[in-house]
Amino acid sequence: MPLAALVLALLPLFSGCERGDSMGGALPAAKTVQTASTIFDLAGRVLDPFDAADAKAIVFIFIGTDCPISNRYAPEIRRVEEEFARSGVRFWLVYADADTSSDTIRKHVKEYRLPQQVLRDPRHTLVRLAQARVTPEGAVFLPGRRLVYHGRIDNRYADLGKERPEATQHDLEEVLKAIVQGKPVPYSTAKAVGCYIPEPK
Amino acid sequence: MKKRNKRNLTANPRRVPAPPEPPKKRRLWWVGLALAGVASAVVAGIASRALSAKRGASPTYIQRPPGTVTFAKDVAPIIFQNCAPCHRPGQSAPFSLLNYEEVKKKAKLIGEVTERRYMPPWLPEHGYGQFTDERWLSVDAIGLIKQWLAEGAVEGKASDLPPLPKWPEGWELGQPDLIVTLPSDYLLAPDGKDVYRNFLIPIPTTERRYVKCVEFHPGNNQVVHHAFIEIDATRQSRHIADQVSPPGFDGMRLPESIQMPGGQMLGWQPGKPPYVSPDNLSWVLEPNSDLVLQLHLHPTGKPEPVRSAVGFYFTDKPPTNTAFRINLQRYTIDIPAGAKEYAIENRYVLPVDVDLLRILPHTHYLGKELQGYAILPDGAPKWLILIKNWDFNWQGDYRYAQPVFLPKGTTLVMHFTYDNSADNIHNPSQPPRRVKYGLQTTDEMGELWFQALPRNAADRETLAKDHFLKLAQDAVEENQARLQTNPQDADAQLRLGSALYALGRATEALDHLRTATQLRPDDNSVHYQLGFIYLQQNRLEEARREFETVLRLKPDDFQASGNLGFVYLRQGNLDQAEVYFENTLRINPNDPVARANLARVRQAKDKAHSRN
Repeated sequence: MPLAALVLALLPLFSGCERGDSMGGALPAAKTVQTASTIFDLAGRVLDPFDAADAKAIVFIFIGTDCPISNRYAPEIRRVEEEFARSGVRFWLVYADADTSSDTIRKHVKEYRLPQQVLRDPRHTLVRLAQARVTPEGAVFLPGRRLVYHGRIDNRYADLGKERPEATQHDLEEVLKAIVQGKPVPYSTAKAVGCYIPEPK
Repeated sequence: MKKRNKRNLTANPRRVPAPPEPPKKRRLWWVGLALAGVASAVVAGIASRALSAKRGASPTYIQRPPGTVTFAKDVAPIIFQNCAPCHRPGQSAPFSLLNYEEVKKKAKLIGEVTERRYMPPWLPEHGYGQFTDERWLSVDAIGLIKQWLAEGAVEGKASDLPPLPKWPEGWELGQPDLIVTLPSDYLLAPDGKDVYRNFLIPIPTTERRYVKCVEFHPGNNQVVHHAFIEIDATRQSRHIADQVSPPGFDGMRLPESIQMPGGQMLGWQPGKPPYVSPDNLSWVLEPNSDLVLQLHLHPTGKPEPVRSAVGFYFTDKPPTNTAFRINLQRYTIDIPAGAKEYAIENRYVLPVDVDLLRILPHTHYLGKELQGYAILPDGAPKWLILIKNWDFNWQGDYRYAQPVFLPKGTTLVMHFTYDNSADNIHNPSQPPRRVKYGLQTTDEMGELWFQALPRNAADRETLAKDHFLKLAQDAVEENQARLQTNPQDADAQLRLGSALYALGRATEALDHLRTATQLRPDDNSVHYQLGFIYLQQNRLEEARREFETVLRLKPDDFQASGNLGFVYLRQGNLDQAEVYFENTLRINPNDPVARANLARVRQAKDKAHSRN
């Protein structure tokens, strides 16, 4: 699997932006990464989600079907998607658990009224590119496959079982606002709380 | 009084910050009681006796030989026993943990949440009171899971795998004698804050029944986080329910007529099995009562229909003894914004011997460390419950594995702290604001309930009377404090007057109640209280005026109507007495007092007729 190996080898280049829960800091270095042909739509067709020349940004939201935290974010994901899709931001939901079938995903998307642009990433190509650990977690790429933010959607969950009555910091939204307004991205990461994405088999 | 209240706001010298190891804990108890002026040598001895009841669990995990820990042999028994009861299809928890594949997939998460003791959810510290159905993992179990993970989460031999426990389907205790179900679905919105919703359902019983168990079915396992099951034997709640669009009504402010009957604590939380009382401790369900379900609902991300049900299990045997609920509480809670360690305390000295059966601590989102303990008549301390990190989401009541005997003269102590800083993740106000006592979740409460079983009915009566005086005494202190801040507080004047009267201080009581009527001339409850005291003092004309005022302000007040009838009866005005007793029965058809009084009036009238 030479392409996957290439992706792995490039990972350290991104790790410089890992800042835990802290805010602010330098933007990560721009870097172009080859996308492995292991990303599918629900019909099983290979596709390259970065192939969107006109998009201001590409957002991946990693979610799962059996994670209550991820599920509880469905209305918030929908709200953010509706807010920014019209501003030229491209959204993808990513299901990275290889055991979750396309049918289960279709049912989940319908039940939780999630956005319809859905990917399967059973070999974790996107998971690695986006440095995703848990569901739900977001990743924002600028044109040229530059990862500018990865982490929580908002700060509602401080930790497992430690939940604010409502979020006081809407991280993903702040990042996208900055991009749409042509301002610098305020911070590159904020630790997401949720269910671990299971290792690929 | 002022002094006492003030002390409640400061660090308490007897505070025991629940150290992790028994010797240290003993020492702190010892120090605390020495400060309280008790002979230290005696106390140290008794303290160690009391604490020796702490269950022996190995304080550190003893590592097994490398490569020997497997799922089948070591981890499956822990998971099947402690996690799978909820983590299986159709139950409250989000995913199933019934086999190696499922557990391995969540292994990292399981390792983390067990080590942090977030799962299984269980708030009381182990060894500070011994409870049934403890969802608590031993240090050894947590260590085994950790070692298993570190060594690659090996499956092991199929022959080592224990069978899955057999869980009952449907009603755990078999078909109930009576099932009361919400008449229609309540639809919980997909998004937003947690919801507190009260549902009222008439219970279709036509005669007195004795209840030995209630089993709660959430009707939607994913959203019901906990439930309180209460009974209203009056029509008070129905009046509220009728005024709002069904099903149910929001909020936590409920009529005082809603009660958990017979000193019971009828609560449900995920994973808590139903409890069957022994026949002699059944509780009485009067006919035509209403079931009131208070549900804490947790949105899931999609619209969720909720239709809960309660199954009643009856017995033919009336109870031979009845528990009594002792409440320790503080209404004077007033937490400055940003305070990290605000403390409240209250105490009660038992007037009779009791067995403690259950305990229920309660605060809202700012509660931090909750302590309940007893000081026995000889000065020995005894932990009744300790919660180091309170979490409103997992609140519940706890039943003692063995009844805890507490002799007459024992002091029950509630000592709670609150964190109203921004560091408290659960703080509903960001930035924090000053928080006072109140029933909404943005207010605070501090209550510790004890389900206490006296030896007999006479002792229960003694306890009930003494406890009532304690509540009245608390009310006097607290409302005096309120009036110091604001003498124009009509509600505080009313409550202070009522409490003073309960303590036999009628002259002072009347002063405060008259002040209350001046502040709020149209408050029917003040006039009622005044009328009641005048009636007790046989000041019939004054009583009559007050009850007439109540009925002018609130024509459907059946108690005022009944009392007015009684005033006329005392005055010998049988015709008017009959009018008001009939009026009472028209408003509240089940009123036994009005019924008896009406019979007396009619008898007297018949006698008068026959004499004429």
